[in-house]
Amino acid sequence: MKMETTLSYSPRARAWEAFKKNKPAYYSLWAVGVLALIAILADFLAYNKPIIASYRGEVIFPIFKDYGERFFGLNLWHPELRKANWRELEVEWALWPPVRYAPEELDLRNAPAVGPFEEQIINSSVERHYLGTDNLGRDLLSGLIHGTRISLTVGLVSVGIAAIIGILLGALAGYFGDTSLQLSRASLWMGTLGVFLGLYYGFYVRRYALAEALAEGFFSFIGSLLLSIGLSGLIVGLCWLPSRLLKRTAWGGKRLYLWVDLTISRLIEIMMSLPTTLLIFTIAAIAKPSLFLVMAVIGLTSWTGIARFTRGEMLKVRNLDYIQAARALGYNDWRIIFLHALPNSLAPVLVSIAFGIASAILVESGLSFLGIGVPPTTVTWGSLLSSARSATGAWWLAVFPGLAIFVVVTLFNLLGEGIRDAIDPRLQEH
Amino acid sequence: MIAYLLRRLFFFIPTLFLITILSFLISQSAPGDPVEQMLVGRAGSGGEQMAERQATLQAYLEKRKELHLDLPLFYFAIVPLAEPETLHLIPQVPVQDALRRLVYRFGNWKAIQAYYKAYLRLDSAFYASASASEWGERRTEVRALLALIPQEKNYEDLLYRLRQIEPLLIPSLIPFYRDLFRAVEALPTTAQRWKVYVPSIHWYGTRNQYHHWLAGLLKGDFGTSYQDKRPIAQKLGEAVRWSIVINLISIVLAYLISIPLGVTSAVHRGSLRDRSITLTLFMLYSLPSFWIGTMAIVFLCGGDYLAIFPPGGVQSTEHSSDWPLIERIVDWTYHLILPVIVYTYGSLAFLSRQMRTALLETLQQDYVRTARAKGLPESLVVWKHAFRNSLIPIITLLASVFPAMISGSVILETIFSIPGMGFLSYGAMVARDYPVIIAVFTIGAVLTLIGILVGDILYAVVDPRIRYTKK
Repeated sequence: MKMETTLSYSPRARAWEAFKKNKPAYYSLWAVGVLALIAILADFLAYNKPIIASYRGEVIFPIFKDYGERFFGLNLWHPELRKANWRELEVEWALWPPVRYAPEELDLRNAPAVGPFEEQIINSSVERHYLGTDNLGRDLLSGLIHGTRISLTVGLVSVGIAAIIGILLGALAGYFGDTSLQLSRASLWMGTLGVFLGLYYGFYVRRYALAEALAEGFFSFIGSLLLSIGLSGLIVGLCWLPSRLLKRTAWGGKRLYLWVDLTISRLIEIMMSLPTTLLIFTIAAIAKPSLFLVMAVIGLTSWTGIARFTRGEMLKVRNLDYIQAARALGYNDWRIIFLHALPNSLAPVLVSIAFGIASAILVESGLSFLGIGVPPTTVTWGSLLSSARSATGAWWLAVFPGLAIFVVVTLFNLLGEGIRDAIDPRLQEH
Repeated sequence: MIAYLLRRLFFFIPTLFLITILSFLISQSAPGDPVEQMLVGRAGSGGEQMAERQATLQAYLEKRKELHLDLPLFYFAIVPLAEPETLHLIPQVPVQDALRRLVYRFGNWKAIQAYYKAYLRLDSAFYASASASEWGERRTEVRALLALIPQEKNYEDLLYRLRQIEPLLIPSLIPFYRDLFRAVEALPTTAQRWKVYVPSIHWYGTRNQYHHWLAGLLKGDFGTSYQDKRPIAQKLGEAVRWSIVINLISIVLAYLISIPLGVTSAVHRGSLRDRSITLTLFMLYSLPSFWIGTMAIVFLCGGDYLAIFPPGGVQSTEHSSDWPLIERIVDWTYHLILPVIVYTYGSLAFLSRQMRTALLETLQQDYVRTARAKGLPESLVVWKHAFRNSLIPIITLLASVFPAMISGSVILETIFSIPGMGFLSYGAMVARDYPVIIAVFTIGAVLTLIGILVGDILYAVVDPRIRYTKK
């Protein structure tokens, strides 16, 4: 077995070996996995209803019932049981989550701010607030567990948005440069007209519809957005068609180079000179509080790093022999970019993604610490930490939420460093 | 070099322009009617009597004119053919919005205008008859409903409102109501939807809101705060001093500490010292400063635990300008120690790590090997040959550290209650004082731009290899 690992010569396998040798980074990967599990299973770790319970001779699955109501709009609960306080319900037997409180649930008997080692007014010792409560009597541990979900979602979604934009633009800039994408003058003009009209009809005319969809919720917004994108695409396509004819004329047939790299590089430069944090704060402060908006704004302002890395890698990769071979085989550019060139240039982007997740989580916790951007009822690590400012003497509120932010940020930073060291051959001196 | 700088400036100006457009756009999307927010606290917003009503409307229109809000938004507008050139003249932003939505739905401005005029006639007829005794209790209700009608964005809601108001009206108003209802009913039948899908360009010239806003900005006029009606420039001027003092101190400190740390760590690469420094710096780098700040306030500043430091602020309450200077400085220092530590450690960690990487890279260069090969003592190699060249990235980072601190200070100044730019903008965010938020954003953006420009210049100055000319 030993022999095999040392004999693996593909760069990816070598990087993976190097990464595994870097113990802090390797364990961070596992820790992030555990955190992801906590985020997914948050309701089974901390909730105010049991997982399974037998009540009056009937076996029920309260958490799943809540899921059915929340996600599928079903009506599953007996009206009396829906509002019931399960901790005080007389059940024959029940399997509870380890923490028996929901994150936003107010335990008025243990408010304001009761500490983990202080005396708590509870019915039995399993109902302890293990990490204490905040000003309003919300369970801190439950808030932390469910906050994991929010933090990781913010990190993944916003960096996901940034990665899509950054990789796409960076790949285009790096692969095409300024001197390889040629277009006939007719296509260029008709294409420009198409993009203008597409944006006008797809987004400008539909802006009220889009805004209403955004107010309605995530899914209707995505639907409306897809409709807009489809409409724009259709219009661009329609404008493109006549250029096939115009191309035959002397004027329209002239071949022009598209300055893909120059344009995208300037765009990156302009984006980089915007003060992103301040921009996020400003937009979050002015718009209606919404977690989705926060993620979208972070994503839309933080793609420049990823784009630059991808561009740099693409510049190197596009001159490699196998890409030339693919070209010689007559593959079209898009196939080469997405199937052959991109997979080999994504490693440095991973570094950016890991650091990006860390900083997105930091920005979001900063925002909710200030109480802007995120709806006030949502319990996040940042909002829990800020409750320490009004509850003097509540050390647990000052320590644990901040610790959670610190741990997650450190994990992703370690991960980023690990990947960087693993893929940078200059640093592998051994 | 000069050519490079010119090219830089050539991009500087459009970017600046873009930033001002961005700030302006964000300020436009702030909810509510700015004129009404300015007039809050003045005479009641709409009396029942005709005269009072006229006075309020007059005040509104005058303020609107003063703020140039009766002008179009931008130099030109690309809008559907259906949208009239003069929509911006209609007072009250919600009414404008509602009418614009109707335009987007029906496309027939003439019909919508007829509806709006019929509404205005009903409205003035109501105020003319407001003193009539027939009204009784219903008057307040009708007044509220009347104000809501033109703000209805949805046609169905509009019809609903009209039906709601009908049974409440006194007989003398019914003819006006009938006119209005007929005009509203006519909207779908006279619709010209095709007009929504034909784009047209309106050219407004320099008489527009953005132009006036930009001109004010260039003169240093950022508008007036909603909160205390003071000029924003004045408020910012008071706040910016504290931000600059604290940021400058911590930048200098961060550089003074991080350079030797980074050098030690790089020179003794791989040693225990290097590893412990690197690990500590890494932890510091990942420590969220608002966590450390909160903990410092909770545990060290009064509260229920230790009371080593004051609980925020920049000076004690009894601080006065009569105190001897020494005493005042001591008081300020005492208050600023904690904030400065928290401000510094993050950039310290970042800078040291950069310093270490830069020196490590320089130490691998050929000329360093040459220096060693010819037998120079190690200290001379490090300090004379390698160190100076490895400073380049650190110096240029100065440009990006400064703007970052301004945005970072929103949270820290809030935690430590330092009356600087960040605290000011946090207060504005909470109070929805949009002009202040936009002013801080604009200034922060311009500072960032200048920072980047300065960074590029520094880069060229310290590194003679960089000529910024085309190969």
